[in-house]
Amino acid sequence: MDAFSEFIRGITRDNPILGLVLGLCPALAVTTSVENAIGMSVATAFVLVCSNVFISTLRKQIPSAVRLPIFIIIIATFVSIIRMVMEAYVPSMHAALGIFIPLIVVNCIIIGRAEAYASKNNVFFSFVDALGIAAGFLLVLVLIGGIREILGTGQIVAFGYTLLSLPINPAVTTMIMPPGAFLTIGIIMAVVNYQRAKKRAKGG
Amino acid sequence: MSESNKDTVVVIGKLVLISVIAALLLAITYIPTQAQLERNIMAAQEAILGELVPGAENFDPVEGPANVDGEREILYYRALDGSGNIIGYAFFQQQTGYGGPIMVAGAVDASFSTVLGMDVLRHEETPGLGARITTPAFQNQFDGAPVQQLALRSGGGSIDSITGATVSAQAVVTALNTKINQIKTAEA
Repeated sequence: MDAFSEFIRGITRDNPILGLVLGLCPALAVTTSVENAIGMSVATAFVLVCSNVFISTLRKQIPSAVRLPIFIIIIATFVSIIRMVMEAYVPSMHAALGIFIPLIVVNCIIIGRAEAYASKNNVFFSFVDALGIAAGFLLVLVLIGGIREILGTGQIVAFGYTLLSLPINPAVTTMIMPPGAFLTIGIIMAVVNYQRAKKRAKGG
Repeated sequence: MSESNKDTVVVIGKLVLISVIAALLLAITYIPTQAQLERNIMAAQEAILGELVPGAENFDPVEGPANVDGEREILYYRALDGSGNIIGYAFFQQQTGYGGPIMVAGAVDASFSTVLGMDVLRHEETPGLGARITTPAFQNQFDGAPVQQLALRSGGGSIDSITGATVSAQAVVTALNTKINQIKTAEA
């Protein structure tokens, strides 16, 4: 088990959205733009890294009978911290993400990694695992947000910079509405699963 | 004490300890963010006042009597031009609408004859009906409306109500009238 492959595993095989199929609620709801996707991913990454490290440090002290309440206390604390910080220093981002910030508490990715990984592995590998999963989450959210934003508005604008601009605005408003999220995530997942099936057929 | 009782005490002790640490962390974050939050709210309010009275250089808050905690509530603001003359009065007023409290910002000129503008800061009105109090079509009616005619058309005034949401529209008008009369009395 080396650190680099543990990190990459979070992006590929154990990718939270496409591999584990966890955390679909924020992935569908806040990916109306690249900016929101980045904001959501950074908030989730903060909570994931902090809770994984904390839970892994305490893993020998946590009585197994009450481990879930303890995980929830730790996760909820970090979610409240990031929510207060975002509300104070990036109020526009906080307004755009709304209810989905407090809902990180019940995000299956975080409790899932706490239960499946951090409570069984040492602090360093739990930290690397959290980084990998967070990177995988970020990449997929940015991809979904990018596809929806470019088709819906004809350009990708993040934090005041125009990253990409189409000569013709397709203006498919559906894409930045909820149906666009389902369409995008469905198509991405179909492509990924097709590739995986092909690889498996080859005996990979 | 039996073995299983001892285990229970240890489990409870650990839960309590973790909760205490969590509470401490939250308290440490709460203090600086709350201060910043209050500054954000102040800045947002100042921006709204500036929009309502575009000519104003400065807003001088008029405070009410001190409450039990010794804090003074800001009743309204005197809008001052560059040389310190009062060119109007701006205010925030809360009024119960259909779905809950509506927070209205408004401004009136120095002679209490014309409304300078109106804005809705917060509301819980029905989307598509009462929530239309936030649309420019409704709000622009208040720009330059004579105070004498500050009532809904059904009440003999100059403000067009919103179809299906008279309660919400009336709440905004009532908020403005209440506060303008209050300031007029206070300034007289």
